[in-house]
Amino acid sequence: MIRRARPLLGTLVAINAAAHAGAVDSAFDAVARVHRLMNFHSCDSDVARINAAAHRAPVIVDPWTFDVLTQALSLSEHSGGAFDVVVPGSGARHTDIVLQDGCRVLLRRRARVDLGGIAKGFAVDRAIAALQAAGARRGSVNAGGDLRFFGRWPGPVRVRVPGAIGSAVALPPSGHAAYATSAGYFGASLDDPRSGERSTLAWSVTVAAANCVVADALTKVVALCGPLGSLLKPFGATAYAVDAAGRLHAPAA
Amino acid sequence: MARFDPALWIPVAAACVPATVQATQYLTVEQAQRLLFASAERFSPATVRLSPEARARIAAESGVTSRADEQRVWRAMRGDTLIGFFALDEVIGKHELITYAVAMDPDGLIRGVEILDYRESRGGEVRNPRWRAQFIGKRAADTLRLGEDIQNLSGATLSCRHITDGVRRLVVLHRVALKGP
Repeated sequence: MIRRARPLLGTLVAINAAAHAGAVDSAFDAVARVHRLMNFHSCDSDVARINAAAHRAPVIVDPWTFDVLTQALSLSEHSGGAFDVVVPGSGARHTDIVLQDGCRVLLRRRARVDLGGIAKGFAVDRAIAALQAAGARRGSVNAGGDLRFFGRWPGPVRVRVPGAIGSAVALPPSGHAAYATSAGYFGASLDDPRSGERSTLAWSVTVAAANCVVADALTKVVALCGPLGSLLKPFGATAYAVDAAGRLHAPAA
Repeated sequence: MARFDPALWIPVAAACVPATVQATQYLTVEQAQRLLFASAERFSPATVRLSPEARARIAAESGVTSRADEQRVWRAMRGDTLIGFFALDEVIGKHELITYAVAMDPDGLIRGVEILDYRESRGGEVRNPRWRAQFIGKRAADTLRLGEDIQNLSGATLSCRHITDGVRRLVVLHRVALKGP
């Protein structure tokens, strides 16, 4: 079993795999590629180029960026706009993003796109795919809140208790291999894209799904709207919440 | 406007894992050196002692204050040729200790960053030098059983912003104290 970790995507990305070292390298390469393409803060990422120019003329992006945007728009539609990669405040919304053939991205009006709420999940999925493509028999990728494994159940997934460093709650087996957690662990807050209102989460919300890109996006939606069946069921996803006292909760309905 | 509504959730029985310390060793110093400089034949210690002036300059240029007046560095050599620098550093937060290594080519360009150790605790012992010392350069075989835990832990890891700051500091340190004439 190889274990490695690197600082990427603004967090610590840890990869465990029963594989040769080259497989782990290719998984980190996939994460680094997502980091490079979708970093909101760098000035030459796809995201930065979209924000600088896509309201004037279509910007051609990497197929991975295009894939993330495609999935993001579908999740925005599915959630009635509760998930939105357009930064609130300017009046622009996800409906102002137009995706065209040839990986072209156009903005109907000036807007700031931030893939921070979904790119990490996508990166975990690509890293898992890279491990599998390189012949790994089992492995896991953990990118600070987004976790996915394959090959063998690694034991119960545990979620940190908000506000209690060092303690965690074990989740019941969900049958899913991908988990994402949103919480105000270290003063983080969540914006409601529909109102622009900012709230701090006293609870943490975890979504288990078939892949991390869906789990990552849905945690934000569930944190804002609650664990609505209409959100979760189409993806076969499951939600959990952990309160500040470390009690685990499941959807009431 | 939707707000987080506790009424939409019901409590379920779950095992609350007793407060544990998350601890993982990824690489020893030797393993990290080999990984970051596969073609190196040897690593010669070249620990840098920083004068107060050098420390001030590094702080001013990187925006990051050095804690110590010493920086652990190795020169990665192939034959008589310097192929790069391997610097070992640590991030000490309130709750976490992260040991990491930065590989730079002779001109100070970053070739890679690897995490060696990750430790976190509820208590204040992270700032205790003796507590920290026990993790440096441990062999993988000695890894605490606790190391298994982090792989299944969802929820944010503590910020890695400090690592980014540390890497920036080391790049400036290279310019100030390592770069040849």
